[in-house]
Amino acid sequence: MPIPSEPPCGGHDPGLFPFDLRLRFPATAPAVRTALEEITGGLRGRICAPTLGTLEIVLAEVLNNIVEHAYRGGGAGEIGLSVAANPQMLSCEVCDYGTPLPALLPTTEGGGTSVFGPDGALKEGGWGWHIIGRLTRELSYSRRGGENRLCFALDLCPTPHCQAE
Amino acid sequence: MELQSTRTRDTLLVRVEEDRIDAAVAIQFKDAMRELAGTAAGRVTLDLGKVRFIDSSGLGAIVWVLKFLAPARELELANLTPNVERVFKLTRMNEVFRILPTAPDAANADTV
Repeated sequence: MPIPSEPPCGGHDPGLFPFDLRLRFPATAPAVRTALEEITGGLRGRICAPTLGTLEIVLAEVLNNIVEHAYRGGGAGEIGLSVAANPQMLSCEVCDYGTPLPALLPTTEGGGTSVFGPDGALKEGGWGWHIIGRLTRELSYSRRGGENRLCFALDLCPTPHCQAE
Repeated sequence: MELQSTRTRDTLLVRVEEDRIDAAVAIQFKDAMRELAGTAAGRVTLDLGKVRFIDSSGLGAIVWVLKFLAPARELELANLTPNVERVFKLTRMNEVFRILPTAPDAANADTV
């Protein structure tokens, strides 16, 4: 399938707004993939490629965490996701009814992460929160009535103009 | 998980014919790589030129392949697309792998 041409970094389609996409889907890896494809399909060519790439990376980490940890990979449970755009930013909200996050949100340390795990071997995972913290701002988490709600924002490029096809 | 493999004299070149290596296919990717590379001698080069997206699970699967081949054999990566390269840099895994800007020319190699 050909990938539509991407606008160059530094802009987005002014006709994008208002953009408010809401999805509800099962907490499984294939359903996460489908949701990501739907969101990136709706935004491809309308925001610059690096921002779209950031959004896909962050959402994948957040959603995979819910599938694997909040719902413990059991495949039962639902995820609610909304992505809204205004000329300054993309605002994302992700909800689930799985187990609460075990601790406060990880800090967004700037120093990077070790490539080795506690056992001294190369890590094969455990990057999710580091990636999320590095790529988002206004990251917040709340737990209310059995619902986990994670919110965060990504900046859009400042120029309200692009070459979106 | 579709992988295309070509053997040159000292390298097994594996091209990933998918646009994503993510949580939905990470286990299939490991299984396919184990089967392809399990008996191969020499170096393995993974051409990621068609892969547009990778997540933590996909990255973990590639690290698993590196560990599976070690210590006798090396895994090198080639042809990273921008968003894939970004994930390697964010996790500093770009410092662990040898990463080639382009895949080696397999035109004259004997296909297996």
